[in-house]
Amino acid sequence: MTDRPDDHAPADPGLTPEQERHVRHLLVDARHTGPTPDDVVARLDRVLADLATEPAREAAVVRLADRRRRAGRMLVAAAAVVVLGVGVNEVVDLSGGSAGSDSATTGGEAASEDSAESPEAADNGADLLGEGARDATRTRPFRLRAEDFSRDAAELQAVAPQAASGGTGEEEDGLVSGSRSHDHRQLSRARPQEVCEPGDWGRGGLVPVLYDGAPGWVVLRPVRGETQVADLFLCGSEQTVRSVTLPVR
Amino acid sequence: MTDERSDADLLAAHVQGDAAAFGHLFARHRDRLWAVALRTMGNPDDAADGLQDGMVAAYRRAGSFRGDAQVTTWLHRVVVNACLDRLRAAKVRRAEALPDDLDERGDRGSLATSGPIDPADEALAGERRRLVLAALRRLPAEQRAALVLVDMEGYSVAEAAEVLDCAVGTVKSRCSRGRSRLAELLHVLAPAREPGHADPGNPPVARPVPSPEPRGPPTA
Repeated sequence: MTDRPDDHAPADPGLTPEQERHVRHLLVDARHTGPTPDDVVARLDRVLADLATEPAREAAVVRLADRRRRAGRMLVAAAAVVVLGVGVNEVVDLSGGSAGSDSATTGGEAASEDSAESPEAADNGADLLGEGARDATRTRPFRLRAEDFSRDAAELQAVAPQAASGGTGEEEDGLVSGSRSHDHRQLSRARPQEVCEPGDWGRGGLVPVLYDGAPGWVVLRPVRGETQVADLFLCGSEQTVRSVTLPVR
Repeated sequence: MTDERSDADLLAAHVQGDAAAFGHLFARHRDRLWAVALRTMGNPDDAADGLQDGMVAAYRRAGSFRGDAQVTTWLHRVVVNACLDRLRAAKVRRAEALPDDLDERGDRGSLATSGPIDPADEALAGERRRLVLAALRRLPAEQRAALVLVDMEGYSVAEAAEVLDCAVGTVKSRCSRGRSRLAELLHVLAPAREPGHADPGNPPVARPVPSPEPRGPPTA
């Protein structure tokens, strides 16, 4: 273990330096140094082989992302309303299914489910476009599914560009504080079971969601390099329920 | 057959359609990624699931890697996030009961030994590791991940912050709180027996107390 004094936080008042060193020594001693088990290697190799048989997805995913971005731009007003907390009334169902580049499912499952240019995905985009254009105040919570959280979060990131960028330029560093991102008056008009006051969850863009029917918020964290973390918080809880790292679009 | 290309070249080749490139890249780092997944998840089955999730995510997201970080850091980030996502989804913050013998030992002393461990005593070392890992599994996922990266795998705090996608101060704080909690669980905070102090138990008697009746087999 490399002991870098500058890496140490100020010693916890409950631990002497000697105690801290001892705990760190115990952890080093418990480090796993063996190779990956053969059965795990074989399993990973099988999954890799399945992934290699998938059709070329990159170009198709990019095309789908482009379509979503166009739909997303038409929803800028609605998305900005989400970030600013205006008008949370109905549910947007993104469960039509489409190629999600960030799903961490097995190769076999993903190959059978994904269709980069599915009519359902096109309908979702058009539907959102239509809804957003007709009524900017009817911003609806996004529906997220537990079994497809990564994929749904990626779609949320694509259709909520304002939140994905961290908020309006009026906010400090373009980021919206979790405690300042909503309008109490507008939230009060939403169905009570679909929305709640967001907590103080740190910096990021907020998007109201229904996670398998449970109301909550996704916080899209500030972009770091080529990735952005999406954290899910459910109403009434201060703990992150789900979290996924998404590529920056 | 080993591939001599750099990590970045292999990743780029994968994005360009080289069917074998990602496999070579992942195999190169697999053992360390397995170690991180294993210690983060706490058991081999969940670690295999988390590592697979991370591998699939990295395979599919390779096109978004822009070279701002080392490829290995990026791989670790994807795998660690996949593991943490599984932990949060399953709400795994198991309050696994420490074994009774640990609680009992805690009354008599701590794991803070007064001298170096005999390297030849593998049984004791193995038991100690088991207890440390059991205590590690009781930590919140974020603290556990920070300690695995910094204290077990030797990442600097700055590197761990890149992997965990959080601030350096956050990593320091998680490590500090995690170590404090481990110290409690492992009774490191109990005062170590000072040299020269008698072992616990009955003190030696000055003279043997005679038996009221002679003992032994009955005489004929």
